[in-house]
Parts: sequence; structure tokens; C-alpha cells
Amino acid sequence: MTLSKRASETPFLGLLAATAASLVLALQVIFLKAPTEATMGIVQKIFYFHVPAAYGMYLGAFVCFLGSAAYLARGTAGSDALARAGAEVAVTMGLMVLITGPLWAAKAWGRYWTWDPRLTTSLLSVLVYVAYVVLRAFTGDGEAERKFAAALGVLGAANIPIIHYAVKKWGGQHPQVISNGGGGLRHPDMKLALTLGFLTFTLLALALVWQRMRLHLLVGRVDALEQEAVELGLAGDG
Amino acid sequence: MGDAQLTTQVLAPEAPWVVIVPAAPPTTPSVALPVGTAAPVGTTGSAVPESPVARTTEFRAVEGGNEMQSGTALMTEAYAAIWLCTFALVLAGVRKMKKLEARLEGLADEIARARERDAKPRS
Repeated sequence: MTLSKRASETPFLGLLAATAASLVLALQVIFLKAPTEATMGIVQKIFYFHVPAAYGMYLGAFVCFLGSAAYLARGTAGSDALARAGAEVAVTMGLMVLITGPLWAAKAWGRYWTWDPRLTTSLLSVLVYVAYVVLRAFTGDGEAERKFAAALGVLGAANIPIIHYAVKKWGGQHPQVISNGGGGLRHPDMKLALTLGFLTFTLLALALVWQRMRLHLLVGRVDALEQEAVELGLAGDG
Repeated sequence: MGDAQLTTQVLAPEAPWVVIVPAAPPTTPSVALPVGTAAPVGTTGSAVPESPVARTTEFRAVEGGNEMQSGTALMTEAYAAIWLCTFALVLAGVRKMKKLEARLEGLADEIARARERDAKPRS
């Protein structure tokens, strides 16, 4: 690794280190400090990562929206890579939400899934970003595909406020502990655990967006060099 | 407690006295659950009656309650799933990036050699 390359990676490595430190601290507070919830027992501790993962999904969706809008406006490779990275993070975080939520519900509601408004809109939103990722993975990397994906990235973000306000607008049984007039977390260590969960998932989402964006930019550079190699008459050996 | 039911308990068959104690309050709410809401399974048995509304709007700390193994298993599965998703994305990205960096270096070398070769006859 050259010196300049190492220097360019220092901020990313710093972000990774901060994410790891925050994760260790969050796990320590969640499992060793925060008390067990009175009604649900230990399974409530899923909440400390389930809610921040949902927030991470919102962040990914927002990044995808920003990148997509910027691509439609300016058409740069950087904004396209940002949109793609955001969609991938939204899918990853969305899967976390859709796996951990039903595991909590199995205990709290006695069933894994119900067609509650917030659950249903969350599933739809994750499917929108899965569609985005699949589209980019299997349809090539041309201008038309990029523009189509950017439009999907902009329109897909419209579902995020719907998820957020679904419980308020349409009721349902999804808990509203920290929003919409919920009673909140009744112990300071519960609040600390959730705060650290949010910090960890913010850093994690940023680190993942950064890594995926670098990857997509690298793919673009390799494609450009391959094109140049072909123009120079070098054998395109893949 | 004005109209609370009273029960009698005989402490021992041979005891010549009886103690009158009030009946314990019901431990389950008499309010019907909303449509589509299942009762919580395997709760830790709080003695304080609560409405289903309170259950969905606040979390309270238990005072020395017992925990059930199934809850621990579900929580373990949830945390395992979270880190599996994260590491899968990170590892896939790192592997692909290493491949791409190797390809990039190879291509850059090839192109530089080709340019050098093309430049020589002219000089």
C-alpha cells in the first residue's frame, strides 16, 4: 500500500474505528447496564438495535434520494455511486428491521408477522430498494439504466414519511414508545442504550455508504481503463 | 377497597384462630384487546395490572423479574441476524474491492507499457 493511498484511507479507517468503539460500548450498556423490561423481558433488548436499524434504513434511503436527484440534475458518476451505495445500505438495514421485528413480535404479540400499516409500508419500502439494487446489478451500467434507477431512487423515498406516520394515521399495533406521544423509556440506562444504538447505526450506515461508494467508483475506473485498453488495441482478457 | 371481596384463610387445622385477608387483585386486565392483537406470550408476570394501550406506549424496568429462555433465544437470533447482514455486506465489498484493485493495477501497467511501446518508434 502506497503512502498516499494509506493517507486517503485514514478518514475511512477512523470512521470504522469509531463505529467499532461505539458498537462495543452499546453492547456493554444494552446487556450489562440497561434493565430488563417489565412486561416483555429480555426480548425487549432487540428494540435497542431494531429502531436504530430502521433509522439507518431511512438514512440509506435519504442518501439514495440525494444521489439520485443529483444524478438527474448533473449526471456525474459520483452521484450515481452515492445513490447506489445508499440503496444498498437501505436494503441491508431494512433486512435487519424485517428480521429483528418479527423475532420481537413472536414473543410480544404471539406471532411473527401481521399486516399492520407500519410493517406493511416498511416491507414495501425495502422491496423498492431491493428492486433498485437488482436493477443495477442485472441491467448493465448505461446512461438509460442509471437514469431509470435514479427516478426509482427519488420516487422510492416518498414511502419513507408514509412508514414514519403510518401508526399515527392508520393505527395498528406497532409500539410507539419514543414518538407520537408514547410513554418513553422509563429508565435512564434504557435511554442511554437507545442513544448508543442510534450512534452506532449512524456511524455504521455512514461507513457502509462510504465503502460501497468507493467500490462503485472503483468499478467505474476499471471500466474506463478497460475501454482505454480496447482503444489501444490491447486484448480484452477480462 | 370499599367493596373488596374478603376471604378467610385457616393457617393451620389445629389453630384456634382465623385471619381475614382481602382477596388479591386480578393479575390480568379485564379490558378486551384490540382486534388483531394477541396477548403477550411468556411475560415476566408483573403484578401491576396495565391496559394494552400502556403496553404499546412505554417500557418500564422490571424489579428482579424472571426471564424465559425463549426470549433469550429470540434476542440472540435477532442480534446474530443484524451482524450477519452487516458482515456479509462488508466482506463482499472488501473481496470485490481487492479484485478490482488488482485488475486496476494490471490494466494501468498494461496501458503504460502499450503507450511506451507506441512512443518509442516515433522518437
